[in-house]
Amino acid sequence: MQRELVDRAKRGDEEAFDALARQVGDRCMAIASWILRDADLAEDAVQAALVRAWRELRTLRDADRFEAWLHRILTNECYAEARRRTRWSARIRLLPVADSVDAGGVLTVNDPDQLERAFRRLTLEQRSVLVFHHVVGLPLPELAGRLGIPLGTAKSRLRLATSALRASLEADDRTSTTEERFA
Amino acid sequence: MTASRDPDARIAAFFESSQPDLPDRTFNVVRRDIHRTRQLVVIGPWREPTSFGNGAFVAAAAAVVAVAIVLLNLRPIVGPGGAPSPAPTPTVAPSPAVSSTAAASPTGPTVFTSPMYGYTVTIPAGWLAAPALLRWDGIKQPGPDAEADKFAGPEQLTAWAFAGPFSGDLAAFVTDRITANARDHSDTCPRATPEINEPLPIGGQAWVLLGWNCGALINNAVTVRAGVAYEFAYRDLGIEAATDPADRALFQSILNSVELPN
Repeated sequence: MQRELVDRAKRGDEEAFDALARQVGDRCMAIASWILRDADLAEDAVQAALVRAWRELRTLRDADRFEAWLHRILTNECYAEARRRTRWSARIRLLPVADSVDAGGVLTVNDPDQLERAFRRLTLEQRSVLVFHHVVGLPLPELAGRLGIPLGTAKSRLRLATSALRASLEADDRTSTTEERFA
Repeated sequence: MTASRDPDARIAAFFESSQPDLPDRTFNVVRRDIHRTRQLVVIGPWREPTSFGNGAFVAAAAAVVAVAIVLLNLRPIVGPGGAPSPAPTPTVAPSPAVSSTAAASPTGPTVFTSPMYGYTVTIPAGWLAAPALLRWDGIKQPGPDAEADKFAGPEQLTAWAFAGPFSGDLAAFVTDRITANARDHSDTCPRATPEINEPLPIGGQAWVLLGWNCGALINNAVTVRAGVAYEFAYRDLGIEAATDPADRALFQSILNSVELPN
């Protein structure tokens, strides 16, 4: 179904591309929201990525790779939006700190705050690797291909980013233990 | 709460939090924008190369079926020494004028004239060119992204170029770029100094070649002319070294074709 839409869109069918965009838009928004941690910028990045995908669609050789190809464009647009943010810092609407449903009691009370702060301190490139690994669920080799980086770089970024998140949790655990001790 | 203390499980749970859906207004804007945006026209078949490694590149490149691409909807030409470009907008706005295109030949090299930065370069047959969408801010060290003209070669090869006003000399620009690289790419390229830093005379113009092993081969050629600094970068994801004879030869051949604006 998606392949047929891609083929039609490559021939200039705007309706087909609109249908494609609606198929993949929410997932793109989730990815961009995670990378940028800002809802307005994420919207802009997805919008730019979709328009660019339309413009460059005929360069896509394998219609079955549409979503992977789009994700790569989207990631680059996220980086571009983040750079624009530094120049246009007035229009930022921050996403609320993770209001997640506690997945089976795994998250402790302070986890979302701690992890959110640690995540926001990561570079965009490190965030992207985490997002494509944890949110999209890609194994490292495919992740590296999707981001256009060497496998070693992907491994390195994932290791560093995960270490940073773990460190934030460990620091929080130490603080909590100390507070309990003095309570 | 019976919380697990396993940090990996807590991190995995963190990424399960829901994110906002893409609002309808964005779909509507995209629909409006694509109606006004022409699709790139690709002429000729594309064939994936089989392998590109040491020494094999030249032979393999010769086997690549040439691709011709006509780039439409380019932004107007603005010279590299000119005034800063207008503020970027969040959408890719179509431009009615085709001021410059990547002239293409299905069987030979392609002459690309940079709409944003004004130089020309001949890229090998089969490579694709896409112009920069934003003007370089003069500070960061761009990769192959919006501020750079991009050249996509066979699977693992990419080149890009950008330029901007610079008041110092070539030595100062070299220092500036090394500093920018350490600042902007320290996560992927932890070396503070490049493994190669040597003069590279090209057609009477003084350039400097910087070579990095960032888990992939990255070569940067920089120069300063008439108050404008230029950087051409070349990346081979298939090589984990700062230099490689085949890559060096190809990059040199590309650089030899560069003509900077007066």
